[in-house]
Amino acid sequence: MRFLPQIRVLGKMSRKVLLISFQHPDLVRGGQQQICYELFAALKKTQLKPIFLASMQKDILPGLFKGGAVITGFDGREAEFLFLTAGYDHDWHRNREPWRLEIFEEFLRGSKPDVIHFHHFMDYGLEYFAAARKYLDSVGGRLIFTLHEFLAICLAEGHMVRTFDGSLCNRASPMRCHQCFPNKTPEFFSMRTMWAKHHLDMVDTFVATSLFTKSVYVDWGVRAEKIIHIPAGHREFPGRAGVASSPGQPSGKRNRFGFFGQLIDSKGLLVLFDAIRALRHSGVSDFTVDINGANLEFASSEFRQQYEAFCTEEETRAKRGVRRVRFNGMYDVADLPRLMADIDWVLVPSKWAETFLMVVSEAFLFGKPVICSNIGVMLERIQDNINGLHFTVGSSDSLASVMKRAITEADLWDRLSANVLPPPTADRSAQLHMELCY
Amino acid sequence: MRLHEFDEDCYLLRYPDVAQKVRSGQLRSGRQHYIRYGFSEDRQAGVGAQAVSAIECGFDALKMTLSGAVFASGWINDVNAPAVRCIIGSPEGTARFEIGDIYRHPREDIEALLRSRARGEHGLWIFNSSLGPLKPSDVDVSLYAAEGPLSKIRSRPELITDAEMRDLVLGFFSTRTGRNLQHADVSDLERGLGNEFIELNRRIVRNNKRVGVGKFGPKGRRVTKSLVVCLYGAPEFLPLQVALFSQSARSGDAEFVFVNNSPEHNEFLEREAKQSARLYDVPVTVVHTGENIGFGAANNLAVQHAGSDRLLLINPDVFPKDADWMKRHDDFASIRDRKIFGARLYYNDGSAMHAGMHFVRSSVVDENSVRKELLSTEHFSKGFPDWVDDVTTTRIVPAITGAFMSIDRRHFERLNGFDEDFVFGHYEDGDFCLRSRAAGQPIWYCADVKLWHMEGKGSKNLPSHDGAKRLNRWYLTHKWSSLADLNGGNEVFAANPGARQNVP
Repeated sequence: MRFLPQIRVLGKMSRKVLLISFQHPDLVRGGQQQICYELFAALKKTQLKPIFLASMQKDILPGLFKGGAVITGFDGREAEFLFLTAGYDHDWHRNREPWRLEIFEEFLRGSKPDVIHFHHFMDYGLEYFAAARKYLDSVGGRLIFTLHEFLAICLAEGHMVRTFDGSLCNRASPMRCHQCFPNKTPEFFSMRTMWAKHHLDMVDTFVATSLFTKSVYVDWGVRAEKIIHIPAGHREFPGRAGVASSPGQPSGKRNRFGFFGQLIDSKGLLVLFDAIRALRHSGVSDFTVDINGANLEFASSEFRQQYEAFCTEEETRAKRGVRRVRFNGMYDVADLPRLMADIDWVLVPSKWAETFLMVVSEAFLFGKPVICSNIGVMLERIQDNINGLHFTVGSSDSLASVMKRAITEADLWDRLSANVLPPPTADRSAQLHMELCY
Repeated sequence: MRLHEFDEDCYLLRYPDVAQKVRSGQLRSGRQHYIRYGFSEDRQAGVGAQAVSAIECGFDALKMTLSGAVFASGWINDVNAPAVRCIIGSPEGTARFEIGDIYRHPREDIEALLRSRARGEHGLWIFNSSLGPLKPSDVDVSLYAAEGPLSKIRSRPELITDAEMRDLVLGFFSTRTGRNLQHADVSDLERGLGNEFIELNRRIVRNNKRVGVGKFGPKGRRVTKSLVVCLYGAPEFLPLQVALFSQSARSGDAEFVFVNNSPEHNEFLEREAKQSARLYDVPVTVVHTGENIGFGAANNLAVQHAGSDRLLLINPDVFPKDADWMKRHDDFASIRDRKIFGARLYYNDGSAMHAGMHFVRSSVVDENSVRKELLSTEHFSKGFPDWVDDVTTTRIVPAITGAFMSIDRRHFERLNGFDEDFVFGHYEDGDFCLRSRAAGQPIWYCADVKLWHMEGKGSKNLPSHDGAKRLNRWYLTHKWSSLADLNGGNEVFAANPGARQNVP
């Protein structure tokens, strides 16, 4: 394929930026879609004209599908669209229904973006990069890809966690991937990598929201100079500083913990549940835990069973006395001030390395120290004993010990909270994208 | 009962008292007995629905095709009176299989069933590719010993297609068990089975080299290289190859010609070809066959739709390793005597997969110490590091793999392409190289052209393919074993005029 020379038109203020997201955060909560949407909302305040295209699978909300349509509007909102997808091949990350790509190409020609910014290729396909590249070469535009997860590298849901023992994977290779998926040959993984790299080579600039993510992709073979580091931005809340400095409970105790995120295996909730049991077993019961989140339907059946079992345990316990663990369900970003007001600490027991962790930004936004697993991007964002506390990943005993310290150590919360810095704002992130990518 | 329905064999098998009198001369025939006594005694004179048999036997499968191929398999306990003839009778006529046409093999299940009986080749099967056009009707299958009838059964054969028949019998051939099996294979193939397979396959190839051709991508572009790929069972390789090869330097004057040996993927491949041609800006042609006509025939068919004078025959699981491989290819191909050459192929682990091939003679021996020769091909330095001399040295070699062959089109056509009598795949590449050498063209291995080969991952493998591999190995041996030095230079062919006669 011959690519036309890149033409960058700086200062052309009416440029259109097509942001491509895996799902819409108003339909399915998740970090990637939230980050992408925050950027979209921030860009709307600039001279650029952003367009937000979010994928949707039929089995989630079949009523959104319209016969013969692949791209439709979204709830009457301006510049927000849904890409109605089917036929996705998760092994190869390609779409088995080429007619959807033809309509995507038609959408590009019709909407005329100057920048196409993928935040995900899942639900679309890596070959959509080729279509985008072809279109952009005809208009002198730029192709941007923000790296969320490690899907191009790792077949295990892009988490780089070994399937047979849950340990972290520090390097993908055909042989190692074959160990994780013995029914797939090393050759399959070689070819899959060739397919992925071929299409990622078409990207002008990669955005890594963390240095950790950048390092993983550089180790895998993406040229370092093609990846720029722009932390994801979060919308601002009026008066957040006041919340951060709130004194907590009248008793002065800092014994209220909160989990925010998806209720799926990789987020480490079961480690938290075991830690709660261990704490009680050791005689510590004067604490509360709020579980805020959704997407339990995407968790494994084993996880769901254990989750339900814990809920039942807590329900029984609550009937006998005070409710210590609350399951608050799905939350919206707008709910954060209220939810954060009820907790002191944010728990992040993730079992995989993560790539940014919007929940850390949300915690910092409200001055909450974070208790997190001691791996991956968490090491980058949270400094142990400075603005949060680390525990050994996957260890409920370690988490219980750290939670006990958080509850009992005098002035610990105040000291750590004082070191929490506000996270990058969405406006700042948008500005960096405009300066460095678009 | 009408007299013309009387069946002598069944009557004697069913009524041993009558058979005894016929053998002793008291009666001229069973028919005479039926007229005089049997009718009034209400004896059964026709074939009937139940098998009649003097021995223990049974048929597991009876299959036929409308074009006249037949296959029957079963078992027989004929240690005391060995079966020497099988007759299949139908309203259209009768087919006789003499002892040389009846294939035998041990069956452990029957040996277990018969327990204390003597071990022997209780398995029995027959296969004929061309009995002539048949109608789906009942047939009588009779087995005879030298002394007389052994059993008779009337059955309606299952009607299948020629391709199903080929796959079934080759699968049966590959999965049968036995002692000194390789020797038994060669013996059976030599005494007629090989020709029956080849004849049936010819008919399949002849009848299925048709169907449609889809052409996609840029029109009117000057094409100097045709990447010809035979797909079977793994259509996902089309977009992968187009994407990766189109990224190679100097790919701007290349086209892809895919030939599809899996008709069930036609629709999928048309869509993929259309999309890939558009996305990666390269001409893509898809040629559909009606059945799996095999690697050789499919490539021959695809070449007819190629638009250039240089053919790069590539397996679906071959991918570029170096971005400039095509430039190096073009440079090498531009030298005058490089009518045909192969490339340095790598396994995905980085070790050498191909650096040329050579021929190997081996022999197989039966329980009577009778030897039979078999030829095969082996790769030089397969699995070795890529810095050993064989891998790094561009040179003339006895043969190259069909996974990647760069061939001058006129040379390919002068040799009539691959020999289509090699069924499915295997060994047609070695045969083509021998024919090239016999025609005076050396086979080159070019160490500078480097590609990946995910060997065996580009297609599915079935028992019938293993059967075909055995058949093809025998066929290669049949064609070339008379040539004394298969790995020598072209002077070998000059000194062996007989070898040239093998060239079609």
